[in-house]
Amino acid sequence: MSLKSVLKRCAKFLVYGQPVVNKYVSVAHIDDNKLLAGKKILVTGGTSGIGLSVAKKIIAAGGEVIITGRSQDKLNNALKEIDSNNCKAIVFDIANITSIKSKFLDVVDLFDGKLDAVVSNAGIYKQKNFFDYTLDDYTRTMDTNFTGAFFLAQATIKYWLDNHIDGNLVFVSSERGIMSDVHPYGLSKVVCNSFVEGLAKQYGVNDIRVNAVAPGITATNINNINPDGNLWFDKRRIMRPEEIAEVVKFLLSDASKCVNGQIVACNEAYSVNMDC
Amino acid sequence: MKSLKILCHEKICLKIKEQLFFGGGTGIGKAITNKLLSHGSEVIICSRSKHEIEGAINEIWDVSDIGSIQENFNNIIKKYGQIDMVVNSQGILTHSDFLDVSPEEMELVFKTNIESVFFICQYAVRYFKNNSIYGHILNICSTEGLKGTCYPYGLSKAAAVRLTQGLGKATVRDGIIVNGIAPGATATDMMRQGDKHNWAPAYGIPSGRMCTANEIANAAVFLLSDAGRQMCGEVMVVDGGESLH
Ligand SMILES: NC(=O)c1ccc[n+]([C@@H]2O[C@H](COP(=O)([O-])OP(=O)(O)OC[C@H]3O[C@@H](n4cnc5c(N)ncnc54)[C@H](OP(=O)(O)O)[C@@H]3O)[C@@H](O)[C@H]2O)c1
Repeated sequence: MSLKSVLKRCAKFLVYGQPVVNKYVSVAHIDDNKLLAGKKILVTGGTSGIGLSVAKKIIAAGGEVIITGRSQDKLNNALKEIDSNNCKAIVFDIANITSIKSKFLDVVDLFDGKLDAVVSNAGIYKQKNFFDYTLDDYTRTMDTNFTGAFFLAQATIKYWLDNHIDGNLVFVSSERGIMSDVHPYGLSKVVCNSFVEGLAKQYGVNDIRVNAVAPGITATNINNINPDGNLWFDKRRIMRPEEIAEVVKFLLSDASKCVNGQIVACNEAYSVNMDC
Repeated sequence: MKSLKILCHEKICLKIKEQLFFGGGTGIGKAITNKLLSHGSEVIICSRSKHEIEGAINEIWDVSDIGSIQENFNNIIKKYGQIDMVVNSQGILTHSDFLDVSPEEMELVFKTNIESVFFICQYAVRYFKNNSIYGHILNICSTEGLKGTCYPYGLSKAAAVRLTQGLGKATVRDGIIVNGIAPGATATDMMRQGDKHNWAPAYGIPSGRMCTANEIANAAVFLLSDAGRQMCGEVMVVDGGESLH
């Protein structure tokens, strides 16, 4: 730094009273179909529902995507439906915790060494009477919906820190993680929400963003609701997966640069607590 | 207080085993046990190793062995008769950095801190319901479970907090009272392990000091007594103001 610029900075410091940080964030006029231009994004559980919808939106916004799922058949069908050179697929069971590190490396390889963002969406939903949950129900739900996402986040953040990438992590959580709950599904999402806030707080300084969407009831395979059928249940509107995907896209894009550590409920205020 | 049988899971410190002997097991579970004994309750402590607390019965039971919960629960009821209250104060704390947390560590912390609580609550509520007992459940959570965190301990406690709230709401109509306590930094063996990792300075606590296990026990006695019957799903924060913004 030349003497002149040092003096200039000192003068500015004296005038404005604080050090000048040259950090410029541009969000004005982001073109919708270039919103994610050049971004390489992993979407776990992209074979149907919200994940598949997110993958389509990413491609439409100029990004590249890798979708995951447990079976090659379902991945092939999804690839056919998405029908784009910018979409790849890899079999990756997120509940297989010990395989996550190596699978993550496969994903980065498939993206030619660069990964900008991850959407942790893979999830299962099994609702029973509280007294009927078995240990197997419990661990399967926790492993898929939370523990897998935890270790994927760990591998991803390590990679971002090592490579100085301003990463972006979006969780597909649930409104059930915002309200009181006794079911393993809800509890797994509670933990996800806490995790999102904790990660954002810890790695915000490294320019890593972590947010979540918390959808209400959404018409997907998870609850066997047909998005083209009746979308009204128990005095509530049922969401379409594209609506949720639209919010995920916003969180993935630079348009939400100032949003970090947020759980964005996508449920028409259902979980807003008005009782106290 | 009338004589009540209480199943109390003694706090278990796993990470550094010999620390268990440090101070002779001064955990929150022990403080609650002593307080309840002094109120005339009968207490059965379930823990992984033997603890001599005068007046309390001690059963060896590793709650992180989830598969054995039902059998152990039934055996205890067979052996000692009706149980009126269950206190889940088992818990372990680990100190790895986020990037170093291993799947094994995660599994152990979650098994002990939430999975066991979930299934013990499941059996206890079923038992209370089937036998028309107006029982109490008290889950010792943590203020770490009330805020965002990326460590296994706080994450497992977040689930425990929400389970307590959900169950409190779901069971109150059956006369079953489920509440919790969220202690802040409390001077027990668990925190002494933390000292080694510079984790437990009283610095930053508005009251200027950590909680004592006895102070947590005071709150526990209130929530377990009939004075607290209209409180359900409450996770009472006892932390000297530490978690206030
Ligand atoms: N629909 C709702 O009402 C609703 C509400 C709130 C939150 N959510 C959340 O939204 C997310 C997506 O669910 P969805 O509604 O879109 O349901 P979905 O259509 O059933 O999609 C779930 C996706 O997760 C994948 N998956 C499940 N287990 C997996 C595993 N072990 N490893 C890898 N992938 C796995 C599935 O792929 P394969 O079957 O090919 O493995 C599928 O692509 C979930 O996290 C869910 O909890 C949904």
